[in-house]
Amino acid sequence: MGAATVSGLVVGAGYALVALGIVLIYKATRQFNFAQGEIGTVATFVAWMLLERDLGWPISGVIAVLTGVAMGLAIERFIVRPLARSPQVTVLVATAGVALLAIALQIIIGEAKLRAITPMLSGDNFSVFGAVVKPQDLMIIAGLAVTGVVLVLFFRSPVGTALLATSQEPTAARIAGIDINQMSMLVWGVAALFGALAGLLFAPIDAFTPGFMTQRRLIPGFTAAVIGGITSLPGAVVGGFAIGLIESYFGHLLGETIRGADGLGVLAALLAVLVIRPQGLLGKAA
Amino acid sequence: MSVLDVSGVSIGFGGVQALGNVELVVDEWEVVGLIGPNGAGKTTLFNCITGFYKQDAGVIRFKGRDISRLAPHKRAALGIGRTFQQVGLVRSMTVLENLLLAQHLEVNYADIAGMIGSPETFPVEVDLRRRAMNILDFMGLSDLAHSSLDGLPYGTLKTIEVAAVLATDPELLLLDEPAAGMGPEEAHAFGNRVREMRKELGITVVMIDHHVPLVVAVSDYMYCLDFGQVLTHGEPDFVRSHPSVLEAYMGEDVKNGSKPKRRSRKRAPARRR
Amino acid sequence: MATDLDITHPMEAVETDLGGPPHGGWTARAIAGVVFGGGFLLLIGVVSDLDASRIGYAFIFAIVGISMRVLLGLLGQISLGHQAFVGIGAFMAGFVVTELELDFAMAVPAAALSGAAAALILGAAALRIGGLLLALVTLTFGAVAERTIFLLRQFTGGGSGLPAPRPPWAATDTTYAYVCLAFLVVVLFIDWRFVSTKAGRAVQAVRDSERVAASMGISVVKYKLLAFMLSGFLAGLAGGLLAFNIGTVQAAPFNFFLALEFVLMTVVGGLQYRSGVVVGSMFFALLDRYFGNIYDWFLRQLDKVPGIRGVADFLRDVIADPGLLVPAVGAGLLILTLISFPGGIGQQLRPIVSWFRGGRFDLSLIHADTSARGGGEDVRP
Repeated sequence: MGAATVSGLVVGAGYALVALGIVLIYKATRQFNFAQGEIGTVATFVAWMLLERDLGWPISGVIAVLTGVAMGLAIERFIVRPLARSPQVTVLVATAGVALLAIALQIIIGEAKLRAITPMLSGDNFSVFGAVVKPQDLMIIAGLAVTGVVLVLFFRSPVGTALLATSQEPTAARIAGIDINQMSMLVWGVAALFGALAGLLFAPIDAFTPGFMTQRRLIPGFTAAVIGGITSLPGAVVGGFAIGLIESYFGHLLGETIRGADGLGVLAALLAVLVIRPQGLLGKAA
Repeated sequence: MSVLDVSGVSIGFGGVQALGNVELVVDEWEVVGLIGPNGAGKTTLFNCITGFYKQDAGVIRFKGRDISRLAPHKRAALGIGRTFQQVGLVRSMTVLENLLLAQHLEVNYADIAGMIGSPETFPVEVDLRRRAMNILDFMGLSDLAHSSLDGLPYGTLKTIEVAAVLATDPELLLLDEPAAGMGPEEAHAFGNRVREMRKELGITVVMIDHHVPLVVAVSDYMYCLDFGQVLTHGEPDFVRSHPSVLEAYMGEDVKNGSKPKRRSRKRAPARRR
Repeated sequence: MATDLDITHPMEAVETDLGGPPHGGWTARAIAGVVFGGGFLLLIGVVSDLDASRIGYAFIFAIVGISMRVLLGLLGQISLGHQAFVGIGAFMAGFVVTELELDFAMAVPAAALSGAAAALILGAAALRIGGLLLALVTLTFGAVAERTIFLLRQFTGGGSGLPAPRPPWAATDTTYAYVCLAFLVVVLFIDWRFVSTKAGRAVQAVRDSERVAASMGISVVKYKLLAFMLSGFLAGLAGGLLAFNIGTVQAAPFNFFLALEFVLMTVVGGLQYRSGVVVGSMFFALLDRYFGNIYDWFLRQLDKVPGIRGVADFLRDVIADPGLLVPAVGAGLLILTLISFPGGIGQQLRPIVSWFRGGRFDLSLIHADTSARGGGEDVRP
């Protein structure tokens, strides 16, 4: 059980990171970004290509992240902004289309195979309560901590407050002199930054195939965001860890008898929260 | 037995007491006017009566029966019809389709029968159409039957909405600002139609509106609300000149007897040749 | 350029002319219908077996498209896990024929009913949430179906998939394509009657405004569930037919990408327009199956043009698996539709459809009026 807990927490940290990106965009724009995962995968591909040319992590990482940010800004400018006054489902479908396009292009250009990417931190794995923890996992947890702190501080800053104002009352914000378009670009850029980072942090320890971030992280990430409370940043973190643990426990206890028990656990948790407390664990009541 | 009996209804939202101990009685075939400044709680009261809000305290009776726990669509089925401030029609359908929709409760075939194209559904649909066109004729809207709701003026939409509500065959009709957006002549014509409705169709009406003269002209009885409380009620003339009503609408000065200052009339400028 | 685009609401209400139809009257329309329909039926009969089975596949997709239209177009709720219902239908059909050893006539209704039952469960969840959150729940449900339900021992047929052999009277691909067409026609009839009668009107009212619907005596709960059940029923039916079209049912094809493809073909098809959804779905199904051929032909044409021969070779090198261009193309079309052509294929077909219904042949109908309908309540958690 101890091992399941530890590995659940480690995986959960990753989900929390993805969830933070989702909550950020939702809090600021009331949109769901389905392409959040693919920004990470694309960034990872770029990093991989550069690493293959021996550019080393620091440079590759930075360029990869910038690519991710560029992708986020492009989505904002060409997809989200034209659909600004459409209901949420439209943008969800559109960003899902972007994710699909990204995955298809990755497979077309890169083939659907598994690649290895060198970890950022080298070193031995170590064991906590019987679970294997790799140095890269620690980077993920560190990344999560930094992201979380940055976001909390951000939303307390003047810029962050302006952002919240824009999300709740765009007209009033405009009258107050806030540039809506700049805000929108800022949000998507920052969310893309976190998405890219998430991809880069995960790739070394995960199965790096085309679309891996969407396939393996996005659904738990979304679920974590919803369970924690879709407008709550601390909720995203709590939700992330919760999903990680639930997956781990269900897999550990029921994995022998029921295939995909971890996914089943996630669905059950989602339904339970939606029925009992639809606004999420830390969310505000509607 | 009264058609509608609201007794002791209170409801609050997040610290604001929207309605406080409201008592209201409507007798059969009455036209009851409900006035009050913006935010007085009139629409909130309607929402409680139709079941969209659940009141914190109090009982609502329709024809003697306590409907406080019934779901909104069941109250509609009992015969309570209602119009909305933002026009209560289905935007994506044409005028005629809205009228067909409104007859939902009258349709006696099962949903499944409709879906599989069972023979009995076809004559029923023809009937619904005929009835819909009759109502549109009654309201003077026949040539709009096949147009979409887009682009129609607000006043027309409100009239269509009344037509649709009539199609639900209500016994009690709650009209929420039906004359909004109408000029004095239109409002006057509408007032006549309300009286006709009562006479021809035997409907009991409760009407919220800001055209106080219209409400006074049309109602048999009036209530005035402010801050969620019933200020006063009675015959229209009584309510219209009641001090607390005047105060609610026009402020303290009027109550104390001083009249608001009139702007002095300017002379029209002489025409330039 | 911002559009007030609401993909769950129709662009305009359908108008029918009440007088005699212009431009030739009903005779012209009848003749056109017979020529087109007859030609199409003939086509199925004369093409090869492989082509016939692909056309059958396209008809099945059209049924899925109608199923999506009921949920997304009429009720206004998005399902990102629809492949689950189709898959459940497919597996149920295979199970009935292989494990229970009953025949086709039992398998197909069982498939449809199992789809309806699964959708009912999801519908119950939809009662409390809508819009985005529901989309997420359907997504998760689809993932669970893919990873758990479809891998149940009873469904895996020992690892190689569950066999679904066709009944003797429909053994050939051509006959089976006609069978699928027959089902499609029935489904279109049901869809037509649904929209024209009280249930369909009620569902659309619930989409636009639950309060207005309730004030007309419509039980919001009942009609939401009804819409889900109908949608699931049709999806399950399609799944059942699919099982026999392919011959073996496996879990792999019923993944998230299929769900997205369903959404895609419905939106690009034009959501509100039955004809558009049918054409869009068939287009994507055929594109899927024929893309390899089209692509090869395209490259060969490029080969023949002097000067850009290098381009063809370059493409051959870079693009390892052309089949994957299909989702890329699909995604591109989706984005294009959402941003520039909200009515999708259906909007482009309006002149023709409107003519068939007795109206004028009016080319201006292909341009939608893109002002949004407000309609329903905004979804905020």
